Amino acid sequence: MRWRPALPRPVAALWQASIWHPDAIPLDAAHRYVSPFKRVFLPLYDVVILWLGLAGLVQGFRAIGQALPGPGPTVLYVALAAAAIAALFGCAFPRLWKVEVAGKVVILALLAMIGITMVIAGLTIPHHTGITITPMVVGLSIPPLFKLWTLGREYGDRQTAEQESVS
Amino acid sequence: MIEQWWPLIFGGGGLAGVVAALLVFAAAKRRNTDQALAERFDDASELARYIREQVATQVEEQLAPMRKELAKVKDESHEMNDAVRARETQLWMWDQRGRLGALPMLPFPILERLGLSHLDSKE
Repeated sequence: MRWRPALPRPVAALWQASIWHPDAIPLDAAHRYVSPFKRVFLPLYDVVILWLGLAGLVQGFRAIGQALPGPGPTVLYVALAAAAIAALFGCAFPRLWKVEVAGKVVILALLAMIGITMVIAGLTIPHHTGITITPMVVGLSIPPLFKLWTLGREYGDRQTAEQESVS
Repeated sequence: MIEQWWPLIFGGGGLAGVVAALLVFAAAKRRNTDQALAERFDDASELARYIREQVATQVEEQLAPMRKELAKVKDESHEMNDAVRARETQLWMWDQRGRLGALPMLPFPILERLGLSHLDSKE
């Protein structure tokens, strides 16, 4: 039998509500594929986006600084970091899926802004590497799109199950 | 510089956000294939009839080339039978009339098909 540490009651409740609890994902054939996605890759993605937001506050993209007026760049990086934290919470606690949807939507919108800025900078500023950075930004947009789709499907399934239980 | 592009940057970001939100909506409206199929039919007999029709269509599609081939084989067989029957009659008549003239032969295309083209009297 596996050793389990004795946790204080609130911590145990938090553990039980989290995606890392053994009962959080139904045990079926898809378990071995779903589990690493939900428990490792997708939370890690949100951590990387948080890192991107914080790195933006520290150093930033030159093109963003030139393109957005006033405190625009700072607001963008803070929003990115805040959205990443929200998405990470939603990812960790499935009941907060609406928070995760909001966080992922904001992340996608901000990544689109960064990507468009990079394209414009790459095309208009001599020797700027924006065009090379753009595919990386597009690549960063794929995991949240995947997660938003699965969150939508899960919501649809829950609604169908509720309708069937009523009728 | 590029500061005059900021409306495009904000617009693009807003559009991406709307598309992302619509993606969740579209995914929620999507039904599993088996659910959607079951919802299309009122009862089991209607579903069974639909399945029978689909199977019949598929079988007919698979059989069509074989039917065509079979019709071709039948036509060739009839042509062969007619040629042999006519030649047997000609042979009988040739014998009855004292075997005058050339020995009646099968038409060349038939001989060729039987692998007997070397028997062609014209060569």
